Amino acid sequence: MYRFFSSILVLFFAASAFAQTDSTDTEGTSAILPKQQQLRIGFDISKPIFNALSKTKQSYEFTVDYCLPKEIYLVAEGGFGGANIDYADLKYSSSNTFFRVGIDKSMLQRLFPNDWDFLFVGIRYGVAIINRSEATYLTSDPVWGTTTGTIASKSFSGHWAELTAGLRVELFRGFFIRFVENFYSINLHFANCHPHL
Amino acid sequence: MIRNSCLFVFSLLRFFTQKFWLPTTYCVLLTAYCLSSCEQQRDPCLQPTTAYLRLRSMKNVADTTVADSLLPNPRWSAIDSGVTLIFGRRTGSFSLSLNASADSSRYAIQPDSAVFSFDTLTFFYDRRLQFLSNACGYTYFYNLRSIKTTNHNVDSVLLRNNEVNGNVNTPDHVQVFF
Repeated sequence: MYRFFSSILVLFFAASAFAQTDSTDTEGTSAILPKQQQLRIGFDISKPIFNALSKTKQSYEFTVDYCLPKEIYLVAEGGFGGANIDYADLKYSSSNTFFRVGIDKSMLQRLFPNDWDFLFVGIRYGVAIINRSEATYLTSDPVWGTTTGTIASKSFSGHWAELTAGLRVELFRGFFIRFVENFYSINLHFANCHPHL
Repeated sequence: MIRNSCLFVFSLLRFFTQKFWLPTTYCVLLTAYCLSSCEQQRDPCLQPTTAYLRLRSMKNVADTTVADSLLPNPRWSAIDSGVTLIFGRRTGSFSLSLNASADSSRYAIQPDSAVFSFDTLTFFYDRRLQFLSNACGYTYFYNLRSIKTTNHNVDSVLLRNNEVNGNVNTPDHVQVFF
C-alpha cells in the first residue's frame, strides 16, 4: 500500500550545534574540504501554529542531521502528537509517537566551503506507535432509530518509507530555515493497523 | 542542462528565502492557518453509511424458470418500529435497513396497498461493527443467517447473498417469490 502525501510545506528552524571546518581560504572554488562537520538540531515551527489553531489535533516534531562526506546528511526525526475526536456520533482520543531516520542528498555542489545551503532529496524510514482510547459511537437509521456503543481502547504500530525533497537556507550564521515536503510514502506494514477494529 | 536548471532554481529560491525570509515565513504560517481553519470543520462523509438489505420480488413462470415480479403498490412495514416504507407502483426491487440493536428484524410486506393482505418476513443475522472514517463514523454490516416467512402471498424466499456490507456490486441478498 502506498500513497502520496498532501503537499504541506513544513518549516524548520535549525540551530547549528557544532560547525567546524579546517578550510583555508577557498573562496571562489567549489571544492569540498575533508573533515567538514556540522550537526544541526531543529524543530518544526509550523506545528505549534497548527496546534494553536486546531481543536482536534496536536503534534510536535524535532529533527537532527549530521553532515557526512559527499554531501550526504544523516537525518533523524521524531515527534509526538495526538487527536481528540469529539463529534456527536464519534468520540475518541489518540496519541502517537514516531521516529524517522534517513538521509538527505544535496543536489548541487557548494559554492564555497561554508556554503550549507542546499536543495535536497531524501529518503526516510519511519516507525510509529499509536494508542487509541475507548471509542464511543452512535449510528442512526430512519427506520430503526439510533444505536450507541463503546469500543475498547487499542494500541497498534506501523512502519513506512517516504521520499522527501526540500530546500535549506542559512539565514544567519548557524541558523537555518528548511522547507521540507514529504511527497511520497509507502506504507510497509501496520500491525493491528486499524485503530477501530 | 538539468544541472544548470536546478542551479538556477536553487539560486532563485535561496535568494528569495534569504532576502524575504520573513514574508516567506509569513506565507508559510498563513498557509498553515488556512489549512488549520479548514481542519476545524469535519470532513464531509462521501459514502453511504447504511448497509441495506436488497430484495427482489420474483415469480416462477415454469418449473425451472423465474422472472421478476413487479408488485402493484408495495409497502414494507418495520413491525418493531412502526415505520412503513411506501414504494412506487410496479416495483420489484427493495432496499431495507436492518435493526442494528437486535439480531433479527421483522417486516410486514403488503404487495398491494389496496388489498389488506400481509406477510411477515423475519430476517436473522449476525451484526458486525464497521468503522468507515472519521467523517462517516461507524456503521453495521450484517451476515444473514436465515429468513422466516408466512405464506399468505409469499410462496417462498431464497437467500442468495448473506453479506450485507453496502457493496452494491453483489447479487441481491434475497429473492421473494410470490
